[in-house]
Amino acid sequence: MLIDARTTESGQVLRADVCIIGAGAAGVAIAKELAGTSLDVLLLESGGFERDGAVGALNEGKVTGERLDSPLERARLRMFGGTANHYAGWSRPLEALVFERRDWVPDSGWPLTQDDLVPYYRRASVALGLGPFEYDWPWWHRERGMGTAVLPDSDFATGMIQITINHPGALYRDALVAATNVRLCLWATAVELVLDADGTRLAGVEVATLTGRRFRAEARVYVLAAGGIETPRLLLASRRVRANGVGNEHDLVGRYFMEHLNLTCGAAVFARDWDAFALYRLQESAAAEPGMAPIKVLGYLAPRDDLQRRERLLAMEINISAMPFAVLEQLFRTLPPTERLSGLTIRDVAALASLPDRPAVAAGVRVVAEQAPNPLSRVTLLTERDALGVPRVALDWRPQASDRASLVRGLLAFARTLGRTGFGRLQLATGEAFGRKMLTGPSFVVTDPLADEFPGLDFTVGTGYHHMGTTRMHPDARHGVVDANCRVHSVPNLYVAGSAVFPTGGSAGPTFTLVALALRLADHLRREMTA
Amino acid sequence: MNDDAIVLTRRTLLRWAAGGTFALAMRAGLVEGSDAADDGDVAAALTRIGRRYLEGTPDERDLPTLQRRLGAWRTPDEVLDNVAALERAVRRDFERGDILAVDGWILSRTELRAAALFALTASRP
Repeated sequence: MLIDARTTESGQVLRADVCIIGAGAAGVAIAKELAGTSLDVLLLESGGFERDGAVGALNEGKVTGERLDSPLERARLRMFGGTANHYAGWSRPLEALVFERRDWVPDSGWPLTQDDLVPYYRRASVALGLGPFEYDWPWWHRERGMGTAVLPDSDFATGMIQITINHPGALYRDALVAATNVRLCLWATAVELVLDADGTRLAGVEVATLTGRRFRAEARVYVLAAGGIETPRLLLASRRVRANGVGNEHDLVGRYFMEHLNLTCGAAVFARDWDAFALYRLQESAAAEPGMAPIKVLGYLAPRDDLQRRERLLAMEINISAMPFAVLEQLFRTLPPTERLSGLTIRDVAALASLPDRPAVAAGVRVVAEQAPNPLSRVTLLTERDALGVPRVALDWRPQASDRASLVRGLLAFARTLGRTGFGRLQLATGEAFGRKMLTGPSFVVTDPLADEFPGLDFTVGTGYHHMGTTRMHPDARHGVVDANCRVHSVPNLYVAGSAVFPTGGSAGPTFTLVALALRLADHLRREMTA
Repeated sequence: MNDDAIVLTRRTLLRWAAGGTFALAMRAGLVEGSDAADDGDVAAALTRIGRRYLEGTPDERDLPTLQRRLGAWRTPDEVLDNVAALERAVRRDFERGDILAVDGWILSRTELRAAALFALTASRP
């Protein structure tokens, strides 16, 4: 059932068994799972089915730390489908090692393993219109006739990424509207979480519209699924009973904000022919479910676990776009003069690196790297309020020097692997290209020998609208806002869904994992509430 | 820099091209069937790499010093007479981390010194 909150009578109370705040990928997945059950579900969404400027302006805030590549009101989307409408569809499971406690990554470790999530990843594959739950390249080679991996016996392994064009919101809009036990309430912005008098349970949610309507939602259980910035914002802003906000007894809400470090690191020359890279080019394949749009698949490279342990690396994904020299050079020629690379060209290095009886291939190299958890990287509230009276956010994003050092160590390990195997040469370029910051820093011709990292290297990076960690999951309330079931430690009828609960972010896009977690939470709620 | 010691000849180029790691591959033509490099491109490429290396390591601009540090090789021809050994040395550099960044390219010190030898002994860019 569909409700337009703009015409809802002020002062009324909408009651339900489950109230979900936010119809993004996580909220929609949970509502869809609960559709058809005996539970009465109320799904509150701040926006409508299309983007709306006035509603989007509620996201405006201040970035006080490292620059994000777009303002907060554009980085997040208040509409059905949520910020997942930015979702480019790139999907793979979070790396198994990322779930572990890594002694070189402070505050790492999930209370779950990758294996725990595999059944939910399988279901998320269907929910997102992906292909079969297969992310090892030999399966795609064997079953779908795709190419083979390069560097097979090296420190770098090849994995597979699936890309769906199916957005979670679009997939389930009609089903949710038709569901008799789900009320989808659009244009309804949650402005306050109201605790009961002793502060131990959530008693209701205050809801407002930009048309001046105000009403309340009350439920047995609440799921806050508003994204990695709005979720802590609402928890922190709800101070009527507890001065520090809801679930914030240990000053953890809003801390540990993480993004993915996303950059084009430069070019490469590979002493192989064009066909060697077939696996790393986008190829179309059938989706797992009949009626779903085809997916695309491509390979990527990543440091193996033993290399990560040895070099104390954070997770990273290396995408190589092999292309003829002329094409890559033409791309660079189209850059504004300030962004053009100077110095040695790809052709120069090809003269040095390629083998006599083989062709050489040029490549652009893009990297997505993990940011380590940092309690000082955080979302806080400003005194300024939005049009509905909610304090706006300040985002102090703080990737650390150690994140950059890990990234450079990983790339140097990759460069050394290429050289050691005679496979090619890698460039860690200075400058900026294709709208992404590349490795920048003091311009150099020749540095000292590179033991571990570039001395003095300092660079900025792009991001991916991947807002993670601000209500992190940990079994101990002193170290996490939610427990392994995504339940807020201090408020047993309040759960959080979405990437805000990720203790660490790995290098995979978060949507696949957050949908898997949402399906797991839906199962938990169904068990708990219908027992 | 001494550009006149040894003239870059077509024979030298062909020997480089026939060798291992230091092949003179302007391979775009093989990929796309066009845009193949000529000898002048190759000479320019190696000379540029060598010169960029020498800009950052001025003490090796002196040919005898460079030859001493390269050890086994004194001229491009000597390099090309034992390309397999050079390739092993280059791989060993990468293995032990004796690598440098030149305009961001991560390269082996030995291959850079060999390119520098080329630059110091080539008569034209």
